[in-house]
Amino acid sequence: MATRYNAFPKGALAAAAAVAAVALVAGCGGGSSGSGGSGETIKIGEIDSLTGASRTYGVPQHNGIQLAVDEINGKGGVTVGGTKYQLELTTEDDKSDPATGVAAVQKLLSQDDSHFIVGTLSSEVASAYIPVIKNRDDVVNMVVGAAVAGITDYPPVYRPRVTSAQYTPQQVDFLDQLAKQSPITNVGIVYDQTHSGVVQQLPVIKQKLADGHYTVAAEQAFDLSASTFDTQIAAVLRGGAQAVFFQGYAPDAATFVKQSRAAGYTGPIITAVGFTSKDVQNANVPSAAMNGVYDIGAPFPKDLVALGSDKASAAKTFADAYQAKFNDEPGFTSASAYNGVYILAKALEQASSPKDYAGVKKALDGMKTTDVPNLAESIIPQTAGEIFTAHQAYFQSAVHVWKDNTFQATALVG
Amino acid sequence: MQELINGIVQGSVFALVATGLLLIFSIVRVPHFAHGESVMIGGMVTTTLVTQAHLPLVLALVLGAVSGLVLGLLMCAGLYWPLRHYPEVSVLAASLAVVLLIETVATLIWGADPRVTPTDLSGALPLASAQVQWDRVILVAAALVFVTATWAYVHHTPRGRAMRAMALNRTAALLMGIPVRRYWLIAFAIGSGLAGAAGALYSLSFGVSATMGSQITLNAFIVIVFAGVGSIFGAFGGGLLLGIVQSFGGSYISAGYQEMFGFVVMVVILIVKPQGLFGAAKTA
Repeated sequence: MATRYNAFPKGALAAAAAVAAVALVAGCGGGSSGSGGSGETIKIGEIDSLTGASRTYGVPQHNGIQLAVDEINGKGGVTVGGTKYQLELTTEDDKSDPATGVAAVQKLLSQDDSHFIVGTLSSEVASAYIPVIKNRDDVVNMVVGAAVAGITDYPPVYRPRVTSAQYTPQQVDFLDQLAKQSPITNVGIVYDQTHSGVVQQLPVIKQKLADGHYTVAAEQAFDLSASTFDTQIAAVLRGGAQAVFFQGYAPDAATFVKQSRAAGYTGPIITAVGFTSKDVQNANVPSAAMNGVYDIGAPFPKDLVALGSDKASAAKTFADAYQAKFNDEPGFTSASAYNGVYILAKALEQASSPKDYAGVKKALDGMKTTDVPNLAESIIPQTAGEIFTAHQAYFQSAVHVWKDNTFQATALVG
Repeated sequence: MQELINGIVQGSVFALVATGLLLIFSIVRVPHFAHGESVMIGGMVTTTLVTQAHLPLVLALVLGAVSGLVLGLLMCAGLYWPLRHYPEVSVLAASLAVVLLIETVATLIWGADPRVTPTDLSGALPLASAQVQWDRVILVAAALVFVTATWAYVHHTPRGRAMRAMALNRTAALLMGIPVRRYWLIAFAIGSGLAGAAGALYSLSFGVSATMGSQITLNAFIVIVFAGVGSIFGAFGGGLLLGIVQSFGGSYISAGYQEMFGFVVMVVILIVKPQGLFGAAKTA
């Protein structure tokens, strides 16, 4: 009798085994690319969110890094101390998870011997792995995505990328402009409580709103990749919010816009999420619902071209190369990632050897925007034209409005 | 009022998922922590069939529900049946491992972003000071129909009676010649089908994502604790209660702790009425 009950079809077991095998193969570590052949190499470790909740941004960021590495190697590599080196990129997926990110950084340092690290996208991951590298003299980390403020206080960390702290005053200034057109006194704040950059800025936003004599009508948190915002929207409507600050990632913002419009909220929604029309399509947001959504953030390359920025030419060259290689438009942080590798390569060329970490940092500290002519972003030159002040670069942001079924940049601010 | 409606809508989904889980748990007595993966598959398959294969919505909804059912049957045949003589903790660990495996594969296929199934439904039903969008009206109505149908099957068919007998006393049912394997499969088919249907319907109104399953399962277990094991309409009521508690708690206190409110009420119920709100007290 017992054997009779064991007689399940073998196919079911085989299918389960196949699923397990696929998952195990997919879960295996990072990949290495870019050296392009024999000879001397300098290892560049990349940590990026290729899977998980931050994948939307992480994959285009990785593409930007890969493009820069391939271009530099295609031009012969970098010359350090009179020797030509190819860049050898090793990519580790942090899975948008802090613990995985820490393990990935430790692997890059101990097993791969990669002491020049580029990435990551996620603020949570960056905050988790910074303690691993913060006291090391032999590490240089170019953060090209994570927006959480404060990490550039540590010697190994440089960030050629905008921070959430830079967005906050720009968002409130924009609200002031809207308030001049039609009265706004009550503001709702809906924020991703799992995003450390956003959480860090929450008191700053509230203070700035208070300074501007706005009342916070509703302050509602949500978790990344939320499926519903019903509760938050009910609170926003009950509080009589005339405008909403949405702080989080673009896919969540798209869901919020769709659900809040359907629930009857008609006021402006101000975001800083790097919205794309792809996000809007994925969430199936009707185009009409996007009217009154304003996204303030680092300009995409096409924005610099459209607005006639002095970086328009470099931005177009980058965007064309990206499109040709990946058959897609650059993402929100692609250009920062691309720039980060070029800035690092330029600094390496000013060091005496690939182990001269102090020399690389010294070069980064003094590097000017004009030293890297193909920078594809609107970095604001500092006092003497430098890229960084205290390891942090500063940027103009673009105001994006929804028009003709896409986001269009209307102005550069900041 | 809007909070009440939001709670009922969300609670209907919890109820549908919990009813399926209750059925499986009553018959099979395994901690099926991968139940939420049938919800996830139901939602993701529906949205993929509509957006990629351009199938008609109703057909996609049916296939979405069927995909949840098939996944449940696969887990029954490939995991729970072979492990049926193992200690419960081993089955629990295997069940959690399957959750991770399925979520990983689903993320590879669909990515991690929430997706919504596009529909032509628009507008809302005004209800007092609030409004209910039509897709949500359909969701609540469908949940009620499915739960009622499940109740009717369990209470008014010979197979349903056999399932209740198994739930009441497994050994006695075995001695009466009830074929265990068949009823395991029936329980998983109905339970996982309900979960798949819940996911398919959910995707019309809310975002579904590759990693949503574990949270849904957790909520379904809370509902079962609310309601008490043994009552299908109790599970429905428990689902609505959980949805309403989360909705009011989230809106009036903080949406950031929305999930916590359900746990708080669950703990209170466990202390005050350990058999659940709708469960009968055990007598010696």
